[in-house]
Amino acid sequence: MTEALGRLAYYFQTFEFVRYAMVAGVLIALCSSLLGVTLVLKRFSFIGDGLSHVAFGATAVAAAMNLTDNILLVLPVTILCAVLLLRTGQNTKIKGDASLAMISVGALAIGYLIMNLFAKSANLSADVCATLFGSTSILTLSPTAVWLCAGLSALVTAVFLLFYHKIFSVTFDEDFAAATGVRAKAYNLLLAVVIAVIIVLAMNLVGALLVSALVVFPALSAMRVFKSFLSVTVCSVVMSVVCAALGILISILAGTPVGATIVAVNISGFLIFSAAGRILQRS
Amino acid sequence: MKKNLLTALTLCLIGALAAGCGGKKPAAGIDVDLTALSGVMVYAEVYNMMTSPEEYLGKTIKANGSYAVTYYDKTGQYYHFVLVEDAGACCQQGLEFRWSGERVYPDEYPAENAKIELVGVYSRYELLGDTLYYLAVDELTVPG
Repeated sequence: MTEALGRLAYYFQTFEFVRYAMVAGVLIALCSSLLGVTLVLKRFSFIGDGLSHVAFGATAVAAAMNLTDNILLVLPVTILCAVLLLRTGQNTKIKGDASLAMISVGALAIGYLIMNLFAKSANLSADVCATLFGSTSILTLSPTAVWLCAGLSALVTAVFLLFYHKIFSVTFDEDFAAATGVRAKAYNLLLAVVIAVIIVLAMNLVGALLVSALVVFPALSAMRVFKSFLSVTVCSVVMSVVCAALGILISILAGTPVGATIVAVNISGFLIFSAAGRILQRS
Repeated sequence: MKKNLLTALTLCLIGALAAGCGGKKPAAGIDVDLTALSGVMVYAEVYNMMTSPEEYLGKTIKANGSYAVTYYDKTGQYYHFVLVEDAGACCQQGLEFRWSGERVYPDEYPAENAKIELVGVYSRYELLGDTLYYLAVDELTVPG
């Protein structure tokens, strides 16, 4: 234990990228868990997966276009798809989950195809691996990327806190919220934009294929023990931040892939919270 | 009851952190000891060496990995690399090195893909108009 702590201290003092990874990781985990509860309750758990595949496709296009800052393309495209999925899903011929599945696999396939056809890097498998599984992405962030992450995280948190009551009402009963004068469609649109921002941020932490875990596990874990919207949200945030920090620490110490380690810690957290929930029910 | 559970959960998380985290201390006289880092840390540090090479110029670096060699037609020379992999073993990066002394390839070099460990100073050179970086190596060993 002492040796592990000594090594951690050495890593944090010596390597700037470890400090960047921890800051960005904690901020991303905080944002993803804030909206996780809403997404789970609205039965949109899988939207994170679909949007992350869209973001992967957009990343491939940005790489093919040789864009130095790919977020300029990835973020607008992901926001557009989030709006289309959340707003028009019920009014089109292709309904909800089918359109999500279609966009999800379509974007993944087209993205990989573009990466192969217009590969700019000699190490294509490394690029795909890093983008899909976030094996080391969080440890290779530039200072600009960390600042961008901090700015977008602050924006997401501010939106959530400012519109907390509206998000609450839209989450539980959209029709009732609309009937009481809440502009439900506008708030759904806002949620779509915020979700897209979170997905693009979270891709850096755990990769495109594992993004949903950051959204779903903390919320579901918190729901095992707590019951009110506020307590579940607070617990979800704490759980998500702790799991991300712990995942990053274990990963840099044990040399395991960052994204997969964070998800494994989240799964462990879910199992522990499930057991805790059962104990609480009995008592 | 909830407070006790939260305390238990915190202890579980700390225990998880302490588990399975071995490693060794960086060697003395070495500025960047890649052999003392875990897989993901090595990959990230080498990535930084590739993207911000000027920051590493003149630093003594210790590295280990697989030996690789390539022949470049335009210069008629062999170029030697140590390849380091990330934790997922899908991302591989090569550090070029030049071994000091008059050594002849392949007779006096390790077999290709052999695991090697080397210590060298990060240096710069120009090749056909491009600025490239390499390790000027004095010590190269093939660990048994």
